[in-house]
Amino acid sequence: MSDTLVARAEPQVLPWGWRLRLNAALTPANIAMGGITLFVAFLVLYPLGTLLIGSFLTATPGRTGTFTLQNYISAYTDSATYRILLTTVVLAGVKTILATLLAVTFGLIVVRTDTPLRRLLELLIAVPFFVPPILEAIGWIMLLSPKAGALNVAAQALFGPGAPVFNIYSLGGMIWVLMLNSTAFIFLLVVNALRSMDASLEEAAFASGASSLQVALRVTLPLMAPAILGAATLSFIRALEAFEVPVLIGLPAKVFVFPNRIYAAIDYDRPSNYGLATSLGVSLMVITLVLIFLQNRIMRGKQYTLISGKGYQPRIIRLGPARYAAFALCILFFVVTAVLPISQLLAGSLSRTFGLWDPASLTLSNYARIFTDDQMWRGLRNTLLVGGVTALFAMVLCSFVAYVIVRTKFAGRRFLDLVSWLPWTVPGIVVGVGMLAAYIRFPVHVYGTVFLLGIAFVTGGIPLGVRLMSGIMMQIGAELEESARVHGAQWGQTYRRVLLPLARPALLAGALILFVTFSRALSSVVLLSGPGTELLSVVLFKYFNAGRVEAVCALAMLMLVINLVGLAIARRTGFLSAGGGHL
Amino acid sequence: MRQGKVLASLIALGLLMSACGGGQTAGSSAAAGSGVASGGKPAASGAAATNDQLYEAAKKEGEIVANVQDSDSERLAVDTFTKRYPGIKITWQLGRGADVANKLTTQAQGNVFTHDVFSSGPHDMDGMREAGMLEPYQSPELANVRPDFVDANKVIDPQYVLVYGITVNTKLVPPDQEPKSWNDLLDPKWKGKIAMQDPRGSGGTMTLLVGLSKYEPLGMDYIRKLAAQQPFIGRETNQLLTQLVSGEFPIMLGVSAGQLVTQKDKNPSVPVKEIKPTEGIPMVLLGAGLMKNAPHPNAARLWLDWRLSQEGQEVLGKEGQSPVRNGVPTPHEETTIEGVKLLYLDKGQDTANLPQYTKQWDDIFFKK
Repeated sequence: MSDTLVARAEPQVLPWGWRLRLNAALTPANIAMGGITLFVAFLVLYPLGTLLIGSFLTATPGRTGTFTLQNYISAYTDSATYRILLTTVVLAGVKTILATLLAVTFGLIVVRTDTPLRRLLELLIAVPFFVPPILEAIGWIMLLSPKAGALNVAAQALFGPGAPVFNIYSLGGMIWVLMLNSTAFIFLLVVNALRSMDASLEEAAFASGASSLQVALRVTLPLMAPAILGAATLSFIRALEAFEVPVLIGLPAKVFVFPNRIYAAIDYDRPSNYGLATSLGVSLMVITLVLIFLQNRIMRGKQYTLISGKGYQPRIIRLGPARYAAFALCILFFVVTAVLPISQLLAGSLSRTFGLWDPASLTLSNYARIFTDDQMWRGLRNTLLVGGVTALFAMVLCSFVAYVIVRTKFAGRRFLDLVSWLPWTVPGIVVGVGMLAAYIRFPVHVYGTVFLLGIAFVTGGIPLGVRLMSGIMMQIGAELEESARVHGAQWGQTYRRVLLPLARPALLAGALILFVTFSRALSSVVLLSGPGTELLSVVLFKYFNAGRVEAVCALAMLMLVINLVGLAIARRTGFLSAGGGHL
Repeated sequence: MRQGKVLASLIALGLLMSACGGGQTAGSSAAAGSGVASGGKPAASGAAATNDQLYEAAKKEGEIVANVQDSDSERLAVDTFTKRYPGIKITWQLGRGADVANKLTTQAQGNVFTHDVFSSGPHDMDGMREAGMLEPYQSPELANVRPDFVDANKVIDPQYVLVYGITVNTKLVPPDQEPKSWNDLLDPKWKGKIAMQDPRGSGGTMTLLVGLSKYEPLGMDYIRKLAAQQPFIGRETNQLLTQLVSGEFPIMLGVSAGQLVTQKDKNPSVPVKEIKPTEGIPMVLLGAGLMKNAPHPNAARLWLDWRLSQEGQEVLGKEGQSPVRNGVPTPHEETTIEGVKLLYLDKGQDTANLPQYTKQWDDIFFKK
């Protein structure tokens, strides 16, 4: 269209300088980047836009109604909104800072030190990420509820009735559970970035006489800033909208956070007030915008080139005897965050009644139940197929997006950056309503098919996928790309032949992480799943509501095994091997 | 739905599922004479002729799409129905009642009609009726249903009843200590020891509190005294039940009798017990309705009729629901409602007032 515009334009209508610029703008690269921007913008803004429009109407999203500001008035004239928002931001902030410190420490231990069995530790520290958050919360309740919690009971038995009791139903309990899961998440996001560092800057610092600590604080950490900040920001945003811990632990503790308030709009009103939920979600978008702005300020004008054309391995720091302490620390983390809660789930899966630990109630019937459920098998097939294919697709897409945002001067790159954060600023259940309302009218028939599940997965995966890739893209030295250009490579060729191979380990690791998030996504897809398009997470929810918490545990164990086997195979075959894609 | 909260009470989390009973075969001869004949009453024989015609028409449609709870009773109902009426497949749908209602209304706006039958608690049922989503259908079987359960608007078919008593952990509450009445819960020894599901929004505890608050001599004053006992309030009944079993608290409210039957089915030695307090027991009526523009209307009518038939009600009662049809026994003491004083919610009125009730419970239980 712009082509015809240029062709028809008379010089006096379109000044000479303009024509030059238009011609220059219409390079294949710009057209490709424009296409990607439009595609991502559509994926994100079509459902979210439907919601936003709905929040100004008197009807549920997707239905006809008249214009109203009522949702915004009731959301933002209530002082409770601001009080709860403050609690939420503080809670999310504290847990994100703690989790980031832990995650970076563990990342440095497994990547940069001579701690024994590092490859195994890397796997173990990531395990909590593979447990669905709702089950992790239930596991911790069984461990730390004040009277019957297994750890509290054990403490009483060991130290007598006067032993202190840790009450999970408290602000501290909420931070504890949120922090443990976030640590594994942030760890997974930063560990690859830590590994793909070129050590030459550190070498230079060492050569200038700096100590290990000085190098870590003044060279290594600043260089890792984009990856760490990106991961921490994602983790923070997630805490603003994730509902498992607020609902299961916060409600009894009477600590109310934003997800409680959003769910109140959906749960307490009939019909569910998705307009109010969306208008509340707008604050989360604003917070996200502020965070992105701050992040850009912090990183502006700095160089993060870490992967250069020269092949250095990161320098391994010799810890001496301290390496056994580092090892013990990692194992302790694994035992506390994975073994303890998973042991509750495993025991539940082998028991007739969850919570009644008694050898007489041991049974395999929960596994028999799930393995004889047709729906479970269809859910498994759909989750593996749709989740697997869309995870790969989403990562390729996100690697383009990250490339455009990080490595080009494309005019729309800031817009693209912004849009790529949005899907996580609205709680899953609200996004699901937006997807339903938007795609039921979509001219191409996707409603009721697995394609819509795929679209939902890709849309929901964009924030994480882009962050996973942009850390890597920032680290790849421009000289590699420039030398490809100098040798006559086109933009697409450069991407395919130079950047993609360099980023491949991160891309595949990212696809695995996305797959895990897809396999447990529930609220965003529960409305889109139906006969023939079941998903494992939806089947799990079905068991939960049917009062079969034991079958839920059995299914969670199955999902855990699938995810861990997938991860182990990927590592074994070298797909994700350290720096495998480097020069 | 043994699980109470869900479909039951205005739904907190319903789920649906789709297991298709498709492949079941039983000699089609079994179908012929059976239909409604099991009813045996004069009214039923008249219905039987209609029933045969309905079955013929239903067979041509071949399928029913419904939101059905994934409970043992509904699994058995689907299996029994598809054996009784071969050639009709039941496709179950997944989702909580309120979500399915929202989904179906959104679909209708886009002219997509997938469901034949919608079923849920009274709040969703009333909402769907008011939204014009339901086609009036009065099953001939209604003649045999307890009159107080029949919908005055002639749109919603009653399905079964959920009752909410007091649930205790028998290891922590010996028989001589058991609360026998709602007032017994106000004993200081239970302070801080009663767990309940969040009464706001909808769910078993909402049903319970509305029921108790409406009937003398309990009333709203009783609810305030109950709140002064500082109950432990959680969100998910099924998760709280695991804590009742593990001994975290001795008493729990908002568990339907059917949910307890499910627990006992899984494990007969589970130390929980349902007590029916002397003042009466709050109840909620589950309903089902024929969808407007249903793709398989005859099959849907056949299914709705069968669920109210002697056989259908026996099947639902067997796995833990309280039947609505006259003279249908239930094998479980917990779910027996014959001779029990039931505390009803006003049909229509109370469901319309739920937002006000939510605000009231919020003030009483959370704003202290």
